[in-house]
Amino acid sequence: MTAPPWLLSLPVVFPLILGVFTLLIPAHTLKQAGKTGALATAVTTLPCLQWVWQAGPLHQTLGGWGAPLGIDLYLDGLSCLFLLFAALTGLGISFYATEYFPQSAEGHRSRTDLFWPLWFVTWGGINSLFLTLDLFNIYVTLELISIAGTGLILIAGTRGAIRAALQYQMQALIAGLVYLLGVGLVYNTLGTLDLQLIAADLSPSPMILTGLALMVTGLLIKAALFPVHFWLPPAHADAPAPVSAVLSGLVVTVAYVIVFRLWFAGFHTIAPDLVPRLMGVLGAVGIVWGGLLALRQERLKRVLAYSTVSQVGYLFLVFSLTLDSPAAEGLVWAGTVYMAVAHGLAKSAAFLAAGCLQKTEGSDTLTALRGAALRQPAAVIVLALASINLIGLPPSTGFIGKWMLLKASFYTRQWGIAFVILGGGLLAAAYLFRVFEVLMNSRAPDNMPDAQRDASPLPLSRGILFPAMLLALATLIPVLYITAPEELLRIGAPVSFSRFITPGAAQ
Amino acid sequence: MTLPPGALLYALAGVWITVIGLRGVLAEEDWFRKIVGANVMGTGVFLLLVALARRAPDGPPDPVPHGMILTGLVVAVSATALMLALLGFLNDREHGEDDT
Repeated sequence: MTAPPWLLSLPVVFPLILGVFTLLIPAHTLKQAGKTGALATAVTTLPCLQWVWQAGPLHQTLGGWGAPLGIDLYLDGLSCLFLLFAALTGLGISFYATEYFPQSAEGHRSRTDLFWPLWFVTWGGINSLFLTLDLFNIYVTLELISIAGTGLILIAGTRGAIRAALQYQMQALIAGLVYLLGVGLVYNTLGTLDLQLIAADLSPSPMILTGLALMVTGLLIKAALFPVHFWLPPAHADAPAPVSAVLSGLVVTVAYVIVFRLWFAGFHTIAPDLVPRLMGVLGAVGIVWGGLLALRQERLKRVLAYSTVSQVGYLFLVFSLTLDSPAAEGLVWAGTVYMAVAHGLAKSAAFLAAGCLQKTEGSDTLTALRGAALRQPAAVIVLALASINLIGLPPSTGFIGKWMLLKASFYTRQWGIAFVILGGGLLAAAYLFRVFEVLMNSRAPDNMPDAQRDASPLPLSRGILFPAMLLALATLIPVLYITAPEELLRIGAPVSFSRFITPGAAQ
Repeated sequence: MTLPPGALLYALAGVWITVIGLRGVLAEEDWFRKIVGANVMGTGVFLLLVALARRAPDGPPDPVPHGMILTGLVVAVSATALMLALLGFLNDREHGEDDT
């Protein structure tokens, strides 16, 4: 059986074509095109799932030019799981966005219509980053996503959004240049940009180590690891809600997944121990720092943005936890993937719910949202379901991921990390319960002075929260008792699953 | 891999210019200066890559880093244009009417 040559290119090329298409069509047809296009984009990932499930990892070259010169795409269980994650999240965000942004009149284009082209280009870039093996292709695609992301933030049109977009673009450009410099050094020594060829040929020479350090540094800025997270809160909080969901749920995850992939493809074999330890410490500090700042925010979307800083920290514990004990490697590896997926889904859902509250109440300040649970119960329920994940309560996927990391930290006797994992959960509970205390306050004023609002409250259609609800519910699927995700992750995994994770999964 | 002495000089100059540009981005308060700093840093990175592409004193240079630089230039130019436009919007807003 040979794979059709379009199998891996389709999830990348199709949304990019849609990006151009939605720029050209009349504005009043955009909603329909957005929904149909999102469904079709999500469907393009299904043949990938079928292939990887039946035939295992797949390597495809583009245009008949193979590595070392050409660009290769590679599909394994990990990339397939993330493709499906992007498809699900993307679908939810797209259906929400059709209701969130006002419909343009015929023959008239408004600023919010630009959401669709920018979002589809971003989606294509995200899929490309999950599949690509070429270091330089990663650079180009990251910059594509950054520039599209800057445009997406600007849709909000406020002064705060413009300033946030400027800062976002600046960090993206600098991070990109640092990454590119690293790629140049690695290429100069090894003569190829293909990740698999590089991984086969790694040696701890100063040139390669410097190159790898620069590449990872650039990616850490894009993944918003403490202390290079400063650009994230304004960008994620000042953007319109569907854009916040894209940036916090998907784009940050993508940057992280590249670090994760590069690391386990072979970087971990040559990097000095100091590097993973440092990333683990920065992750741990990020968990606490993000949590503490989330506790002090006066706006709901700011709380969620700082929560992203905190949650990203968990994902970086993996580098420290896999250091000492190869036996726990599979456990930590899979646990981290679960946490990344759970956070992406839950944070998207939370931002979508926050967007509803912001529109219907006219503001997202906690004072304006007092008692909102009585007026907007559906949005608050979605936020609560997402919070179960962010805090890490059972039976959510976030809980299972955290539990696996905790188990590994006991196993490798890294007590400090175990303490931070547990403490970070408490901190998340604190900053989220603080929000719910306000939302569920029944002694709300009957009519709030308009001065507290940023905009006049707008009614939203009933169905708008349905996609957000689905995303939040998807994180509550008990992956502990369903073996499929783990079996998918095992396909082509760079680590051995020597200890079982899911009871009953094949070992 | 050893570089010819001339190329080494360019490579070191590239590193130096990169550092100067990065300092500008981090230390300057004014956004216009930050944007200029980012461009100086880009120039440094590109110069370093050009210098490294010189494999042997007599042979032709490696074209792949040149391709990378061309793409990097396109990204840097577009990002700079975008940031300058944003800075313009921001200034208009600050001297004009209030927030919408």
